[in-house]
Amino acid sequence: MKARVDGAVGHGAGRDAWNEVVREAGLRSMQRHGRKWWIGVVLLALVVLAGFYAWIYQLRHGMGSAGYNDQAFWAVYLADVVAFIGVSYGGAVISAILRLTGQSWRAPLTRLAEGMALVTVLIGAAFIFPHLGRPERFLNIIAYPNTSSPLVWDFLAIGTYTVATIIFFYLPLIPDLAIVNKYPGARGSRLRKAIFKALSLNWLGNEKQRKVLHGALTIVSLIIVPLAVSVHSVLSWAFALTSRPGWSETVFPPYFVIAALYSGTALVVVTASAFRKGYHLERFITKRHFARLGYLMAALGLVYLYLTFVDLIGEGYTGITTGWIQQTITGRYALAFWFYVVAGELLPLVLVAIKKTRTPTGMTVAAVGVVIALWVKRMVIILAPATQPLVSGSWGGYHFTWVSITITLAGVAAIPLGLMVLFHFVPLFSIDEMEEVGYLGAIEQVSAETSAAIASGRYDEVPELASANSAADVAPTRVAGSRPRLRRRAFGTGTAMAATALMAAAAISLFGGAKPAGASTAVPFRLAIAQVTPGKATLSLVASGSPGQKVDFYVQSSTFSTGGLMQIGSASATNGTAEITYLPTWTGEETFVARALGAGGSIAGSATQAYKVTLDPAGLPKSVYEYARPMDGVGVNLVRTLLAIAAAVWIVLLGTLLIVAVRIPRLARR
Amino acid sequence: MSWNFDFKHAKGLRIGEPEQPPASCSSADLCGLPTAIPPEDGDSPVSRRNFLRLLGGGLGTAALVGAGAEFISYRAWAQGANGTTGGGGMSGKGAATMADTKAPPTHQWAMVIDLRNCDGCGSCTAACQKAHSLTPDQTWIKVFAMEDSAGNTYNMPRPCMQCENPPCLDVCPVHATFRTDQGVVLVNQDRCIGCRMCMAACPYEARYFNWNSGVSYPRLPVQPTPEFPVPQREGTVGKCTFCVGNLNNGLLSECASGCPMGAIYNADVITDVAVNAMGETVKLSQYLYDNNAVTFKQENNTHPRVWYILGHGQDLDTDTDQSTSA
Repeated sequence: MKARVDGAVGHGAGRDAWNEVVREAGLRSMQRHGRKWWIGVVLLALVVLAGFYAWIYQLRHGMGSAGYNDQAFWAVYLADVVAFIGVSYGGAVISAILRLTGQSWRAPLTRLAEGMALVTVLIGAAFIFPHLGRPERFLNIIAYPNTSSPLVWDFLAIGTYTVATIIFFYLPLIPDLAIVNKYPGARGSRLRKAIFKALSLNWLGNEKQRKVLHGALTIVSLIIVPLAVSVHSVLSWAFALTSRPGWSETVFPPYFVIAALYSGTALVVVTASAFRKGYHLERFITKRHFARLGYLMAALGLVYLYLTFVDLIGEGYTGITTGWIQQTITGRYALAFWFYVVAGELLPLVLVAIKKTRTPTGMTVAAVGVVIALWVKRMVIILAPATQPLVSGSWGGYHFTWVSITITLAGVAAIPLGLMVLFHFVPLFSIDEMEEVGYLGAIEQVSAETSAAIASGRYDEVPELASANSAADVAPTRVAGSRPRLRRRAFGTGTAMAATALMAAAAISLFGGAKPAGASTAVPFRLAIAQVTPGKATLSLVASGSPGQKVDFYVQSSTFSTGGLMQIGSASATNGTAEITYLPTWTGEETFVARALGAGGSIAGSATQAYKVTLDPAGLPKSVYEYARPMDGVGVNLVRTLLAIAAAVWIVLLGTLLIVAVRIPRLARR
Repeated sequence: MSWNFDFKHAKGLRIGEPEQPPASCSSADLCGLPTAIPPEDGDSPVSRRNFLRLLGGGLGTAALVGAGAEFISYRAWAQGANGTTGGGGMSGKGAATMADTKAPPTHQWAMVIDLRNCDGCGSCTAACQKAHSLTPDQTWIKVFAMEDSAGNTYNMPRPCMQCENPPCLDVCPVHATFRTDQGVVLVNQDRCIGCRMCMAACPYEARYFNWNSGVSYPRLPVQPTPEFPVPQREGTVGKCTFCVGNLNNGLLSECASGCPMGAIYNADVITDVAVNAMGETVKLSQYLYDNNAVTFKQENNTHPRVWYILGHGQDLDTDTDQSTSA
């Protein structure tokens, strides 16, 4: 290290010296790489390539090769999607909130957090492809979107969030791009310089440009927090909008949001720790940073523990659908669940609580535990309800195969690989921010770490430094999300039953079968059909019969070729006739049959009569049975509102980018 | 979790306590015709409970006379409902306008499964798998060994319920699942992206994914269609189609014709008929009422088109347990 910020620090020379230190450190990742970097990149790239091979294998041999079956229909890839997009959220939101609250200690962390958010959201989105049975038809979501499906909204939310993450990464980068191009020590091809020049928008760093950029960053920071909340809420609704016990939980959206924040904070710790070690940034990313992130992590971890309890206690207490809870706590998923409790909750809490372990190493261990445990927790959340039997029978199970393990590991390896490659092109931290706010933070750090004597003269110049307890600032913002309210539409009464039945002349029926023994007085057995009341499609079937005789009435069913006579009524004869009324429900000629029953149920007489039924379908009554559709009434308006919000977010995001791209170069010319 | 039928415990299900007809009801008026049913005030939903009351209780007012009066309105609704049920055709868009101009369907397919006659032989599953070239895992109709709340066991074949309010249809992101105007829920396997959201949403476990390639299929002269999706397309979801091609040609579904006990009836809600493999032909609404038919998991508001008549095989004389009659 060439320059040190020591006792000579002042606003002139001290700042220049500080700037030099910052530039040198921030550009370390862009210098010629050592052997370790290359070995790392090659090894990680090999793992990623192995993942692609496994995916090709899966495409050729079907998703069964990844361990899926009809009961474990959702498993590892969806857990990967949720976990990767979750950690991305953590990175973006931590950066956004530290920015919005003006925490000066954020300066060495924001770029790492934003870079991590960018890399992981791309990886998380990519995991949708191995998750799909037909990845090549993915664009059907755009071609034939069903707005009542949570997955369509997932697509929209993740897409919007990805764009916001890219913009959120780019905006603070603008000053650095200009600095990199001007910095004499920076390497780079001519192409890179040209690209950087174009992207840096003639950044000079004057007051007006800073004002524009600061405003734009504030807007994007404000947007990215609720945006990320929406992403994880919609992701959770892919589960919670089913009727499956264990998924159909009201707690799911905040549950997912907090899990994302928790694991994301942890991955920020891991990323910061790795780059701190790899590029010797101990001076900038200090013990205090880890302690603060540790507090944040602990607070989020407690909230997540609470939500886990909330998730389990409701159904567990009432005992209505406890199969998945039993399997989670004591059954086949117990090992995974308790691993989460120990490694994902107890261990980090203990490590944060004890001062001795509140070190960078201690926090890194805790964070690694959290990241792994939260992935395991996602698997439990997905698998326990998925594999439960909904009708009867036995539990299903998911079994890892080399395919799913390799693809998941490829995603894990893609994070450091992506970060290493990303920081090959951009500085490790925001040099501009470090020069501004980091300076103040550094004075505090250096002062504390060197001597009280140095500090004594400086502290009155230093405004409120990073003393705010940041954990309180990161309270999750909830987006009011409500399921589409189901409404039923009541029908008006009195849809008249206007039907026209033809008045038929009574036709003479035929006789059949043997006459009853000794029935010398038997009248000919006949069947007559007529309309009962004008205006109603009611047929009257009148058959002759001796008093007390039972007569069954049938219609010959023609719906199925194997169908026979369908009984439509039965009556006892009084005064020589048996009568029923019948409501035909279809149009056309039908054959009606009447059978007089003799002693012991034998057929004493039979008559057949054809009758042409004509009904006006429009005149048929409307039913009171109408099923609410999600898109009915409120649903349509909900969709419109959500689309309008999404459109507004896109307009603001792209508009902000446009304003930055237009105004900053213009302000440089003045 | 108890996996028994909760039919009897479902709220408002009134088996065995038919309602008295209104005093003003005469047989000529056909008590309880839809015209006489006032809408419950405001947004009070007409729930399954009312449906069941209508189906169960109201029908009992007078033996066969007027029986089915409530059911007819139901059928009439079904007849005109192709536009309002969403996804009435292949494209959700314009389904309503299509419904305005299209002739109402002549059939609304349904099914009745008489558990009193089911001995759990699995012939229905075998017949279905043979007809559709399915793998042994793909039990589009599956016979579950069930246990009722008294601890007695019985067999329950479970096809796709062809819900009138199908959850799988709502969650499909690409409209690959659709409901025909004959009330059959089908999958367009040329559009399905294989996200399996429908499998998550189905409360009956009725959907089966095509996980593996390498299954040998018979060569057929025709391309698979949603009505006859044979062979299945890998990477997409398949399910019971009610053998709607058979039904439209006057034939029974493979499971119904393959059932040696006659426990499975194919039914049509519009012509109000149900027929089993024995050729036994019954009036659907009357049969459902007479036997206290129920639908599975009515609490899910899915409105299945498959009705069960509860029992435990006692009509077959194979019943050895001392269970109470359903």
